[in-house]
Amino acid sequence: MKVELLTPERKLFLEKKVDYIEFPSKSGYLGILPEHLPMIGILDIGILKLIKNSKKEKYALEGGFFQWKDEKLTLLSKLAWRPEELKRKELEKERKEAFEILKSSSSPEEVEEAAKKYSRASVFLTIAEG
Amino acid sequence: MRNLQEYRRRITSVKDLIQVTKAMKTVSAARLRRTQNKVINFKPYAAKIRDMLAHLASTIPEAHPLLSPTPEEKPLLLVISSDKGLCGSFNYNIVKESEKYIKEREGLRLMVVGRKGEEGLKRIHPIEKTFKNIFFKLNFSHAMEITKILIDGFKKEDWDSVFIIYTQFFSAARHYPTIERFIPIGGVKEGEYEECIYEPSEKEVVDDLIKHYIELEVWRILLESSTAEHAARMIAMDQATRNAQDMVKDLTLEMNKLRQEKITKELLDIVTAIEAMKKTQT
Repeated sequence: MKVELLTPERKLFLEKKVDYIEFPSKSGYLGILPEHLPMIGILDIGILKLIKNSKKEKYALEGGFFQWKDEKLTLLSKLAWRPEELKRKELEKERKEAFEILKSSSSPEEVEEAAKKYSRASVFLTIAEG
Repeated sequence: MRNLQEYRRRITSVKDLIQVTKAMKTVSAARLRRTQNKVINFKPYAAKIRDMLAHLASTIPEAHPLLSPTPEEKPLLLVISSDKGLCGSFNYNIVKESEKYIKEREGLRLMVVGRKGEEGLKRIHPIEKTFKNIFFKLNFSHAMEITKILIDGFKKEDWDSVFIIYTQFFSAARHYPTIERFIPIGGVKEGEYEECIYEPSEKEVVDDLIKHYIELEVWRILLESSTAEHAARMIAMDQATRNAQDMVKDLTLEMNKLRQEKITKELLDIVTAIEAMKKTQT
């Protein structure tokens, strides 16, 4: 089966052949094996994992859509990064800032926003290299 | 009459000007290429999203509010201009086109992208919001921000339709202001598609996908306008360079004439003096 990852600003890869795909959908991580039924859905913030000949590859995704059709998964992510493009220091700073807001703020909107930022930074930090 | 010194000074200052306009032309050409690349990268993505939307439009039982026609009695107009000048008639055309549209419509609300549009339109119609300095580092989050405002206002019934005036880019020498209806979305083709699973649910997918589709359209328009702006600036600067070069040529010619005149006069003086001296000797 094949997988492709596109964002409005660039193509990360097209028609990559893999054995197993795991990606963040809105209702939790989904794993796809060949011969799955056709599917359309929303992507969440999280990590895309690809396995090919027991070699793992990871990418950070931030929202978007996916479509599984004819043994091909198309990931249309609003923003996506390779691990080497994520800046560890920036993410740590973002996480800290979000944490401060979570501790001090009382408005539910702000808390929701900060919680989102906090989890985004935490998830991306797990694969960040730079 | 001018003296030689003045000519020399003017020629040097025009030559300096040429360097500036030439540099600006090179910068605009590089930026034009960069934005054009962004447009190329964006196309396959947009095509896939449109495909998905067409798929969904054919399966949902009732039309989504953003897809169904409205009376268009309370329109919002979004004008896309630029932040910087020196790009020929780029902003002038946009402002003129918007002015025409504003005068035709009553009860219109106005938002502007870019400083130049704000400067040109604030005398004609009150502006509710201006997005400034987004072209300096244009990225997709700008499109997301603008779309959020457009959709939130539509949901609150502040406006029932959104129109956008922007500069459509055909080629470096051809770009014109155009008006497009944005919301409600029109022209989504319905196709025949097989059944499929929706994750997490059909309604959520439809809502999000339509919103994202509008984000993409905003992004496309920002990119197109930015491409046209760079092209307009490149051409304006090219023209300016050529004009300045002509000016240097003319000035040099005039200066040489003046110098020759001066030399002739001096020679004449010397010759007359010699003649006079000869006469007195004999």
